[in-house]
Amino acid sequence: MRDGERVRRGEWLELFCFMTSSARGLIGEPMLYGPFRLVDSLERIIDLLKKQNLLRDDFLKAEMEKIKVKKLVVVTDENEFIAFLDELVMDFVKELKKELL
Amino acid sequence: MDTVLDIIRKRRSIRSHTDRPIEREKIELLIEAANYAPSAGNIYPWKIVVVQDSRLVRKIQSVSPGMLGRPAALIAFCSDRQKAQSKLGNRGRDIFCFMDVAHAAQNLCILATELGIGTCCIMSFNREAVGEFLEIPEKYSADYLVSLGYPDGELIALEKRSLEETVLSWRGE
Repeated sequence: MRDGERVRRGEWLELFCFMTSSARGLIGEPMLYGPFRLVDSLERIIDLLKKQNLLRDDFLKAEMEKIKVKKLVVVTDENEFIAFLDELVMDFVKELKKELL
Repeated sequence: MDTVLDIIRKRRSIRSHTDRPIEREKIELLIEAANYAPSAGNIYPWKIVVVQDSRLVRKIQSVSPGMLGRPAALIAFCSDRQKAQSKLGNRGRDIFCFMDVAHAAQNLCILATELGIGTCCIMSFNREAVGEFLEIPEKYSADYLVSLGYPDGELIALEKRSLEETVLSWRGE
């Protein structure tokens, strides 16, 4: 395996470690951490796709930035975090609505 | 000059870091501060693993969902629960051990704040996975992580509970 491929594989493994250890950890963690870890994973997936030049999509890049800025409100304001999740869902729904499946 | 209370008021959980490394002598001071924390029975059942290797920090971060940002270093508090149990019984193993680590971590965080270093105490991590990456001897368990890094961006002002909200009762005045 070439070095570049190994680095890329390492980055995906890093993400999968994050997701599996989140899944295990959430068994004993506060309920609100579940949605938080999911949106955090979403941000990481988009970030990695972008970093590995697998993504040229302005909508997804903008959503990634939005998550990065707003996700931490989970530790200070539960209602604001829930409102952010509602907003995120509708962002994706509106985008999907435009697509042909 | 800041008083201890000023420093305590300034402490925040820092989740956004610059890439400036943490100086070794500052980490040594942080460890000294941790060592001045009280320990039940004066047994100090914990030891510290310092991680400054950026690749290792990243690997540990991948199994620590509660660790955000890009910290320059980590402190892992590792407890010898059997040592605590042998001196203090089951309460030593199950309670005092964690309290000792918490006291030590708080001392460390307060001094770090004074030194301009941001900290974040982390419980959301996979203990076995961290033990594997750090090759921690079997008798120790990684119980608490503290991320270290110079803060990036403005600190958010926090509102804390008032005296009235905090005090359950005040007897004898």
